[in-house]
This record gives sequence, C-alpha cells and structure tokens, in this order.
Amino acid sequence: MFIIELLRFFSGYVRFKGSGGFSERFINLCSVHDIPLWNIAYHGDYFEAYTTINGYRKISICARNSGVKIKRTRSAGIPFVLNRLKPRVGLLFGAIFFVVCLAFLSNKVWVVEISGNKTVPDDIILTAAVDAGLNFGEKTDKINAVQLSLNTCKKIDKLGWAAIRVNGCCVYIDVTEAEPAPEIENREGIYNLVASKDAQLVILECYRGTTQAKRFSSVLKGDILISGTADNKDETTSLVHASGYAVGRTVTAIEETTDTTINTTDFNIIKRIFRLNFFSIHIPIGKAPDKYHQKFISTKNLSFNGRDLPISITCEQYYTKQQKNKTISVKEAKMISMSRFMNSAANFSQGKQIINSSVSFNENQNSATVSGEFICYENIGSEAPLEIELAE
Amino acid sequence: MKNKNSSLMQKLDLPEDLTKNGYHIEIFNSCAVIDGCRSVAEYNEGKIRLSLSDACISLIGNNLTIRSFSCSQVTVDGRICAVEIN
Repeated sequence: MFIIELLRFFSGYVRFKGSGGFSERFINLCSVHDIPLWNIAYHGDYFEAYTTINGYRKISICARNSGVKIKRTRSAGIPFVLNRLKPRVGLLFGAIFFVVCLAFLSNKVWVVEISGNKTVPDDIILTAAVDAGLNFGEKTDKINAVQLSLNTCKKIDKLGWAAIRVNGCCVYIDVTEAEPAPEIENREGIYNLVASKDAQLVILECYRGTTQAKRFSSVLKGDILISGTADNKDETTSLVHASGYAVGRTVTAIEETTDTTINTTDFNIIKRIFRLNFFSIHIPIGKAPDKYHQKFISTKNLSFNGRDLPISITCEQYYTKQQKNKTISVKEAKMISMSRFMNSAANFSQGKQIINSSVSFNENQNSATVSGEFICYENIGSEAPLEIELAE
Repeated sequence: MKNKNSSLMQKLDLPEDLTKNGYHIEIFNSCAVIDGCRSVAEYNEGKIRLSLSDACISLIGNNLTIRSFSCSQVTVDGRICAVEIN
C-alpha cells in the first residue's frame, strides 16, 4: 500500500467532493471513461473521492451527465509542488549546481585517516604522505596506492610498513611501526675494562680477560678492572676484548645555583595572519611581517561526524623576542634551583641504585643553592682501548 | 451458453469465476473484494449495492468506503454487517 501511495504522490492526485445528482451514476460513468477513483467515502449528503490529475481533467463530463457538483478540496503530489516552484528559477539552478558540485567533488580526496601508529604522530605521517605525492583535492583514481605506500614508508625511518587504500573520498593510511634492532656487542679489537669513576668495587664478574682489581677495594677513575690480556696454558699471552660486569659504590654530588638576577626572554606578538585552506588551495588573508624571531602555527579543521574535512583555517602568529635581565626574590631563586636540582637528580638516578642521599640548601642575598650528595651502586665498567708499545 | 460454460468448468475442475460472466467475492475482517462487478447500483453510507453479471450483491454496514473501483474489481472497506445476493 505504501508503494502505491508513493507512486500516487509522484504522479500527483486530487481529492474532490461531490454533491447532489446521482453519485452511483457518477461512479459508473467514471468507470466507463477509465477515470480511476479510490477511497470513495459517503458523508450524508455528499461524498469524497480521490483521482489522478488526468482523471480530474476528464471528470467534468461524468459530473455533467450525472448531475453531480464537483469541488476540488485538495491537490497533492510532486507535479503540484513543481508547478508551485516554477517561478523560482534560482532553485533549479541551485539544484543543478549542487548536483554538479557533488559529481565533481565526490571523486576527490577529502579525508585522510591514519591508524596503527603508537609513537609516530599523525602529523608526521601525513606530512610524509603529502611529500610522497598525496594531495587533498586530488582525484582518487589518479592515486597510485602501492607507490605512495612505499614512498611514505621510506620517508619515516620509524615505520616498518605502510599501506594506503582509497575508499570513496577517504584515504586510509594503515602503518606499523618498526621494532628497533638489538645492539650487537662489539667483540673486535683489544680493550681493557676500566673504572669510569672513583668507587669502592662491590661486584666484579669477569667474562673475558684477566681480573686486575679485587672486590671491596677502592678504585680510581681509569684504573684497570679487567685487562685485555689472557694467559694461555702454554704460558703465552694473548690479547682479547675484555668484558665483564663491575658495580661500584660511588659518591656523587649535585649542585644547582640560581642568581637573583636572571636572563629572561620575552615574546611579543607583532602580527597575526589567517589563512583559509580549501583542499590544497591556501588563501592567505594578510601579509607576513618581514622581520620576526618566532612563528607559531595553529590549524582548526571543519569537522563533520568526527571527521576532519579539507576545509580549515590556519592562524599564524609572529613574535619578536627580547632578552632582558630580571631581578627575582631569593625565595623564587630557591624554587628555581630546587626545580633544576630535581631534574638533575631524576636524570642522574636512571640505571643506578641509590642507597643514601642528603640535600642541603644554602642562600644569600644574591643567589640560592641546592646541593645534594648521593651514595649509590652503579655500573662503573667502561671499555678503554689497550695501548701496545712495540719494542724495537 | 452459460450452462455450457458452467458444465465445462465443472468438468475441467476449474473455478467458475474464470469465465467472463462469473463473479468472485472475498470478505475479510473489514474489507470485501468483489470481482466481476458491472456497476454501482446504489451507494450510501450504510449500503452499497453492486450489479454483477446475473445478480446483485448488497453490502450492508457502517462507514462503507469504496477503496478502489477499477477493472471490474471493487474493494469495499468499512464495518460490513450483512451481505445480500439476489
């Protein structure tokens, strides 16, 4: 029934009211003249019925012969809507323009979606893909997906694999990041294992070479822990690449001092320029200044249904920087010193086991100092080439 | 001739409404479909009388509406209380 009603709406229909005369004769005459009637309903002294547009044009003969007075009560359907919109020619041109735009833009690249990346940002992958030949607004059938994938992958070392596929107006870039190759231990050359700093030796394991230091003994920076000479059973000596594991108890002091007069950099905005981006067309609004020190760029995309469309506004902000000396209070200097000290301590503690530490503050009118002492266990073994002097 | 057609249909085991002069009536809950209708003899809100080939059928009820009227087929909607065939 819905299909029939839809077809009637497309072809247009008329509802009319008939009164007086002989309604039965009117219905029979309509049947004879092939005028379709439906939904004929009797309401006391009049009846209502529906017919097609062509049927209504012919209905006057039947009405005259049967003595029924016909009055149109409703006209509905596409032909009546179009007839009503006839004087508005702009709508027709708008509809044609819309269809042309849709046909023209539907085979262009609108959206690029990137997936599979964990550490490499989307922007870098997108820039690499653009450098490799992908352009917003480019025809999708002109994209060589295989070549583009290879070129994109080549441009970023961290990518192990990239696949590009085109679906409608969307280009999907699926990437897999490369696993870093394990470091291969260098076994060539003749090396000693020496102490990298002053320490008390706690652990010393010799894998290759001859042990030169004793456990719990004190060693100075540069002392040989394991030498690259190995004694053979036939009382000869051969030179090897010494390797081993040496852990020492070290004492390290870290100090951070901040003066109350510090050098700061002030950034002053001199100009802000907007740029309208439509696909790969960039329309600048304004001119960039000739002299500036720093430029910050921010882009805002037009989004639809969670997807960025290739219509965006870029804001470029140009700054000049000015170096100047600033006087701060001792308390502020202390805070800055503390912050620097925390950063230094965090960097220092990586790969070490701290067994004891102490922090002290010292301040005067001109500066604030934070100093700390760390006692820790750390790997002190480092390789140093074995120097050989040939006897003449 | 009519009897000949009728007996032929009976012999071939076919329904009689397949012949040109036959009629076929189906009544559902609130709808009646009548095939083989020639014309509307009487129509008002409570009664619709239809002329068939050799008979008349009257549908009596309330709010009777002719849903469609084409190709000798009439569909009547409404509350049908009685059907009379003469």
